[in-house]
Amino acid sequence: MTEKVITTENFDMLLNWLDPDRESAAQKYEKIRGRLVRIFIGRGCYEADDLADETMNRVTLKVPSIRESYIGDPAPYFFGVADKVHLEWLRKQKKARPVELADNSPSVDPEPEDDTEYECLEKCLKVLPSRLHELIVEYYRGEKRAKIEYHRTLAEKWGLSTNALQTKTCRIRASLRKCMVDCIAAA
Amino acid sequence: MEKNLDEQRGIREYLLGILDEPARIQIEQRLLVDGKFAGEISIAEDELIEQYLDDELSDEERGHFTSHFLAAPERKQDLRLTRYLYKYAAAQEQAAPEAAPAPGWRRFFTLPAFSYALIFLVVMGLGYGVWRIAFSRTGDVDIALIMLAYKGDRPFQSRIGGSGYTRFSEVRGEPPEAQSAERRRARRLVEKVVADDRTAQSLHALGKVNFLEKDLPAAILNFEEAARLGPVTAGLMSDLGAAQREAAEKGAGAEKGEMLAAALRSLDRAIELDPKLPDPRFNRALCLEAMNSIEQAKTAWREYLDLDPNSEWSDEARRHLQTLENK
Repeated sequence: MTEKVITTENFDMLLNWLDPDRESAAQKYEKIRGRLVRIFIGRGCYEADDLADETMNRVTLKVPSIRESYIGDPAPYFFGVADKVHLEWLRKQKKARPVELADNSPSVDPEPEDDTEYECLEKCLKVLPSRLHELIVEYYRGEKRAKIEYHRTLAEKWGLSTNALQTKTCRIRASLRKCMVDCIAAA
Repeated sequence: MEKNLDEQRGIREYLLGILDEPARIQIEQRLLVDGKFAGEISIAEDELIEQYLDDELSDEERGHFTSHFLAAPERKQDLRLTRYLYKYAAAQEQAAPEAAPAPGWRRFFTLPAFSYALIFLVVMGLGYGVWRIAFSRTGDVDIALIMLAYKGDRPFQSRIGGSGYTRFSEVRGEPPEAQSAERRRARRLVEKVVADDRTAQSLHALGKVNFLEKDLPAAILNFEEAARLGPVTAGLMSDLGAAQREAAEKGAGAEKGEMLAAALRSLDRAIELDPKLPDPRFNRALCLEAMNSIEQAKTAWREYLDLDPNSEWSDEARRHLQTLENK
């Protein structure tokens, strides 16, 4: 992990490197960090948030020495650093005690249901706008077989393309996830 | 738009962890910089989870799904979320089977034209007495009955207290003649009340009428005079802020800036008087948008949605927030 302290000056320099407009720079920072989390999740890392933070910190410390000579979109630079961070993490995992690995290994049978989580989902669904609530309930009501045909019919009913329907339900799920995190934390 | 099948297959193999390294790196690099592609991957993740729960994966795919895809806790949470959604949807279906569609003749009663006709008949049928009920002997004004004459109308983006939801549209036709007649009557009576008894309440009512008839300078004068006479209420300050904001939209340069600043002060005062009133919070977010204070506008929309998460107004608020977040 990075041992040097990130100062306000370092951080300002990073933001400035991402974009001269501070607001746009902050948005780019969050976007890059979020995508790095997804990349680490996609690689099977169970500490995706920490690894993304480590990547951002290392890039922040490198900016003073690279920003003058670096040409182009900063985002790919983050990818290179993320790769190194991932490799280090893998080496660390291999050295870890077997029981640690076993604790985090995926179970053959998926996670059991959690009452608190389900109650939170119910609460979060109830505060969705009525049309979105109706859409998501209809989407998951379909029979397991002939799902493709069902979704096509549903898309027509809502005046959407199939792709747009999937995008919409994906976004509804994302907002439900966020809502549930808050609800579970408060529970 | 048809999805690229090769791309979809590549995404699926990436998610299952069976893509070769050069192809995996290509996908990850694209995920980092391409928002639309990131969205495609999200959709593919959801689909894969559904297929797993529906037993539609082959044995080999199932193995990769459990060993690779589910390695991260976030993915396990997503799996549980999908299970819960299936469970919830099934419970909803059992609890409330779909109502049969109304027979043809009943649907007549839901037509917008019928609604206007009904309002006209009810109001005309009750005659002058309706408007007399709206005004007590002391000159108090029943805002709800006045607003009935303007039902379905929303001349500006800002919302005025007492109005139900109507989607704002730049293009508007003239109201039906029956409704115009009721509006003229409402105006005459409000003006008479103000002439008889110039109070904050009667002036507030007149201001609303002027606002709905798009006479913003008159509306602002009425609201400001009502505020001077007192008592100042949250609803009054909210309506004043709304009128000021809409008037600013017609201005330009420094004048526009000053008017928006005045609107913001009025709306802040309204919120101070009643933090739980939705109208000024909605209007405040619109005001901040007009001032190009994007981050503050986003915060204001989120604060509005905390107060009113589930209504047609909140649907509109979410659209505004989404537009700002997409910028």
